[in-house]
Amino acid sequence: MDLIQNSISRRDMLRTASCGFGYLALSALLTKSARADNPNELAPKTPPLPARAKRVIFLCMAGGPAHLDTFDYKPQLTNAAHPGSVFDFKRHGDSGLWISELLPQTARHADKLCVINGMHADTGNHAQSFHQLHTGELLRRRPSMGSWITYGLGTENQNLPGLISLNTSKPATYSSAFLPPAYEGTPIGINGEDMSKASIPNIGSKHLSPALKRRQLDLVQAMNREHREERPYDAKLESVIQSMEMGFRMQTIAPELLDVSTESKDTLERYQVGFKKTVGTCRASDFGRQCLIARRLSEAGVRFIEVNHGSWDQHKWHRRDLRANCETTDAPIAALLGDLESRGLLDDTLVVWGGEFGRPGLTPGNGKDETGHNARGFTFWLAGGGTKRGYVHGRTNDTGSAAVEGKVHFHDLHATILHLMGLKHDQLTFSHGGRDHRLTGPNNAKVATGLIA
Amino acid sequence: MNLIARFLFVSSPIFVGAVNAIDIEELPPPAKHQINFKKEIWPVFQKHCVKCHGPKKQKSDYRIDVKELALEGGEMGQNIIPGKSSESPLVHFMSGLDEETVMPPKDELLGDRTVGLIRAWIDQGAEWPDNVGAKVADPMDHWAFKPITRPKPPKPGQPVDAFIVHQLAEKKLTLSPPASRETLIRRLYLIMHGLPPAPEEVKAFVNDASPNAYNKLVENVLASPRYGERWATHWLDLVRFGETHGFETNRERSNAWPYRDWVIDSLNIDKPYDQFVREQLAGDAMGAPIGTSFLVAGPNDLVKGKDPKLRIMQRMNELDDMINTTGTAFLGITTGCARCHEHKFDPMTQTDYYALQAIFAGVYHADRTLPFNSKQKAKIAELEKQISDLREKLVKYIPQSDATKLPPVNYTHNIEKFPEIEAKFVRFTITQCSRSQPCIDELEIFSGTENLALASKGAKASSNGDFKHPLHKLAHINDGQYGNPRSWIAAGKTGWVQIELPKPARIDRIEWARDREGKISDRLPIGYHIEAGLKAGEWKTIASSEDRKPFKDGKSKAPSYTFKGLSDEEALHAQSLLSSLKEIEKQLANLKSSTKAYAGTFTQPGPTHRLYRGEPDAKREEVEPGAISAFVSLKLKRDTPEQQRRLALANWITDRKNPLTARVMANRIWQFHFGAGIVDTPSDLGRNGVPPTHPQLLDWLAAEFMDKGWSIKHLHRTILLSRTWQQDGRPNPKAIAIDATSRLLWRFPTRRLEAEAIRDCMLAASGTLDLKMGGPGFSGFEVEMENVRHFHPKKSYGIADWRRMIYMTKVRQEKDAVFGAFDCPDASQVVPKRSRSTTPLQALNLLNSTFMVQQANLFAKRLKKDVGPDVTAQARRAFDLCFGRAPDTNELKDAAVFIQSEGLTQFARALLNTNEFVFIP
Repeated sequence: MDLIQNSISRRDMLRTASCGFGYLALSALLTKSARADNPNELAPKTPPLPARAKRVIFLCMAGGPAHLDTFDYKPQLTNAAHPGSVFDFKRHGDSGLWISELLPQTARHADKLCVINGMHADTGNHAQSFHQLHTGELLRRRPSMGSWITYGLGTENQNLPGLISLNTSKPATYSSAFLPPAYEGTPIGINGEDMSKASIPNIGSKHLSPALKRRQLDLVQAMNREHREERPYDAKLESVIQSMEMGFRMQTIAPELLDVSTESKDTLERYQVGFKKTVGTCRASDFGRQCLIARRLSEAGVRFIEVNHGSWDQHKWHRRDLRANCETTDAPIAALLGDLESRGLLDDTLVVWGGEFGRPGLTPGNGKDETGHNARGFTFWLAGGGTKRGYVHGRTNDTGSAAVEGKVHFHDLHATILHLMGLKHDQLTFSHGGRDHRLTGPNNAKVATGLIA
Repeated sequence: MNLIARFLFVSSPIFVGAVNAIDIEELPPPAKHQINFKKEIWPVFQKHCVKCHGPKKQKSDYRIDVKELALEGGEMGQNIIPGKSSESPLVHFMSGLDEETVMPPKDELLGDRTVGLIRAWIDQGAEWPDNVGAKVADPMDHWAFKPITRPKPPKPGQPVDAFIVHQLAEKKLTLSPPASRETLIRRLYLIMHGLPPAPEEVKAFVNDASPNAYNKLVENVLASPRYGERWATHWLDLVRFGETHGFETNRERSNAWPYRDWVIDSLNIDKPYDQFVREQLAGDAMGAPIGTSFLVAGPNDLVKGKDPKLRIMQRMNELDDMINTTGTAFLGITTGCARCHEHKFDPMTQTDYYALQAIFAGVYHADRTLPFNSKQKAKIAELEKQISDLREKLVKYIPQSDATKLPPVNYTHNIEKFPEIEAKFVRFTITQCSRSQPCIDELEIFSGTENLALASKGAKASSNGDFKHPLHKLAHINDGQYGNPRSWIAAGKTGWVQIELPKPARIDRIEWARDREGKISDRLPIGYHIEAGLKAGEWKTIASSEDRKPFKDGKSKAPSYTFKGLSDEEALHAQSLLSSLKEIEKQLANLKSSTKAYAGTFTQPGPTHRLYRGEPDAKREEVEPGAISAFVSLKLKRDTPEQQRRLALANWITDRKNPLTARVMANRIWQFHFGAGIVDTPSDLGRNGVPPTHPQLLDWLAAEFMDKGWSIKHLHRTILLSRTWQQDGRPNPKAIAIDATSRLLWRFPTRRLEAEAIRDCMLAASGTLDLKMGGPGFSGFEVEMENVRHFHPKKSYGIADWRRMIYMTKVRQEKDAVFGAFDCPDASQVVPKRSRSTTPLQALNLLNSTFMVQQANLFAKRLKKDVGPDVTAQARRAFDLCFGRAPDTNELKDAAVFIQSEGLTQFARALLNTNEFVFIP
């Protein structure tokens, strides 16, 4: 055995040496049975429906963005003041979408947006509603939407995880729960970690030079191949060998993707990379860097990317904190939408924006600046991925307190996202605990067909 | 409803609520002729109805294509009333007179003629020939629900082999040749201990020429405590054991570990499996209190919703978790479906589900103070003796005025001791209260260490009047729960409360308090007397406030000693007595508080109702506690004491006649030996599960298991001594072509080790493994102690982290930074069988993690220490430790070259990364 000189030729030699007729027949047989026995769970799969979107970027605005002061314009209708928008709105783009003065950059992309003003959910509790937004279920641990999608579709780049959640602190954003662990997402930047330093756990270590690491892996792989040659029946052994190579490649690819220093100064500025504003509930999340990384990951073929910014839970200082949250996210989102469009990615990338619920409107002029939670009516927007452009779907009542037309529940939103990805929500099931589970739950969710282009 | 009917529908009723009244006069008239059902009615049903009320869907729980079900009705009751077409809802629906209930819906409205035919058929008695329509299968006609017999092995010799070889022969296959001794001992250790054999053990076994060498080895392996540690992992997976609460805040559950130790110990002492099961459901009734940790081992949402409906849902989910875990772990039956509707596949009705809920309805997530074991009791008695001796010696230093009476009553805990007396009734009469009406959070009546007053044990409380308030109820006086929110308040400023024990008992102590949680200081009974008797009315006073010093501020106080006026020598002596007293009192307090376990608390529950579609606000009829009615009636009543409910369930589950329990466990044991069970859906032996590959063998194993006293070790022995288990794991092209997945066991199925075993094996190889057993675990995380806990993977590891992974604190929703990626479940749900994934993230963790780098360094150090600087010797030793075999000539040569060029540490790390290291051969 000559492990070190050249492990590849060693393998070839072994193969030649044992290349009797019987061996060939056996390996052909094995390859076949091995596939059935141990398929690559993350290999891309063809969806049952024509897919409009190939990947999702979910801009998760935790805390409950105030819909009436962002995208759901509620002017005063009568002389008697009533709850509504307290910031100014203008129409934007050819579509004339109403967008708040707080989001001037996003407003430039009005004609790309598909605003859903008829969203509603089951509870005004943060934790449970956040959980339902991500998993469809209020209370119990269930797979995240991204896990369901990678379960249904696999992922395009085998050298990267299929589901990545940036700047997260909640397992609901990446947990595969009872789905096989291959569909578990990878969090990058957990619990407030500095995003400029965050990476995939154990992606690198400084204790060895890359060359030495390679030689060490060559030894491991040579031994694995030797071990495998004696057991040519076991597909699992080969898949471990391949996964080690994949992991090795990921060591180079992933840090490169996360390192935005190669981007131009202009790009970094457009995305506000490094912008840190901490005002009230608005935390510094380096949101621009997240958006830029999300673009790079989507270009590289990651199936589902979640970008997180919180908290929009502005209670007492509505005007001040909402302004800060908007200021932190507006330019990066605009830059992301612009880049996706100019790179031809927006057609098959679905961008989703929203949080666990909205907030009751304030009454202009009465000086009050404190709001609460409202799950009966609020706003999400979608862009790209086969959605209508410059379009408003559904509406809330005159005070914005409840969705009254074109109502879209979280279950319906999930069904719609799956539909755009080419998946049938009622057929994407997994059997656990004796029954078939699905992202959209046991009741009949509806695809919001009206918003599909 | 009959069983068949119950078993057959799904949850999609389309209307709920009242049906509008219609005008009967407007109904189309019935046809005049004699109706032929087969020709005139059945085609209508088939064409218009079965799509929603047939084999696939049964909207409104109604199925119309099966005679019995069609006539029986659905969620809304009877639809066809023979002889009375004008009163039959079916006719009302079909007439379309009420827009909301029109059937069939949309544009398929039946014409007047058709409705007339149906009316006539009903009026003529709704005759339905037996040979028309669909039939449904009897849900009990399923292999796993039939009694376990003991099949005769198809030929003489080792029974396991007889069954396996017989089935192989049917496919013209045979067992593989025996595995080599090196392979055999490695496989045995990895499967039974999750650790590699020491090189010396391998050598001894390989060279053991005695005919029973392997049998001896098996006995040694089964006798080792490493066995319990390894197999406990399998059980803990199955019962979703975790040491944090999960959900949003994911707080620590610091007293969960005693259950882990209890499982390890139960396996090591080969506790009979039926007893093991009973103790987990009702160990509190049989001197094994830790066992009931099983019930509450799952996640628990600490943040209760403000919305009352959400709160009830949370409680329903807690109970569902108990029902589900009991059903899957012990019975291999899934129950989840029946929460909302009758089980689609198995004979489990929705009523059964709520009957099971009533079994557990008194179980709450909480720590429980455990009764002391004999060792602890002896220690307590010793300390109490020392304390009373010391107090006696110190009594002369108490100022005279205070010496004779007991301390005054306090808010948080009062003890009344009296000479033992036989009693069935105890009455606590309050004559004076510190403020407003008196309150007691819990009244406890002791015989030795056992509190007999608990409602869950059958004691009954009564009073002469209760204050009306949701928090304060008579039932709270003996519900086993402390604190103001679970307390009783008398109706007036004076009054009495009485406990009737289930039977006369010798009692010697009563304990009571206003608020043991120490939050509230009011409503304290300060004038009272306590009486006991065999009959109510024949009272004897056993304690009273007269024996106490007058009430002052309600704070619990130790007697005050004064050493004034003593000689220096005597004062010094007295002082030292006092400090001894304080020290021993502290020891006693520590000892008493050290026996908490997260084993749940029990309280007598209120009524349980069936919930329509599982909705908390859709209560239906009240249900009695029970199990699955198709199998058994537990004969429990609505007011059966809480503990007896669980006991009854436990006794049924472990009854020899239960067809599931032994099969399920025998199958699990088989699964952990061979990687797959005889039934490959180990927690679902029902109709939706996969059929067994070797049904006869499974039944034989189940019967043997019970016949040998439910001994798990006996079952291991039986399997381990088979040729099937001892055969080689290598390939055979002919066999692969016939049975690619080796389910028929023509070879031993090799597979990767689980996360815990990989970690333990690494520590064993590097020589750092600490075999300390039991007690609180070590943490894999640094915990950020915010309201919502954040868990950061540890950045460095030390000796405390090198125990076996079973002792790593199991944090829910988080995975160990290195080994979590190896399909290690996070205790959020029951896991009967782990997946085995292969991902690049696993490779990265092994390649780059701090843990691995450190272990490789330590491994290299060990190699140097064991064999010195010679690289060939180092390579040999490394192969021995990692693979339990010597390197061949080429491997040795190459290893030596690698060590010289890249260093011993790199070599060590490479070895720990190889497939051979982590695969069961």
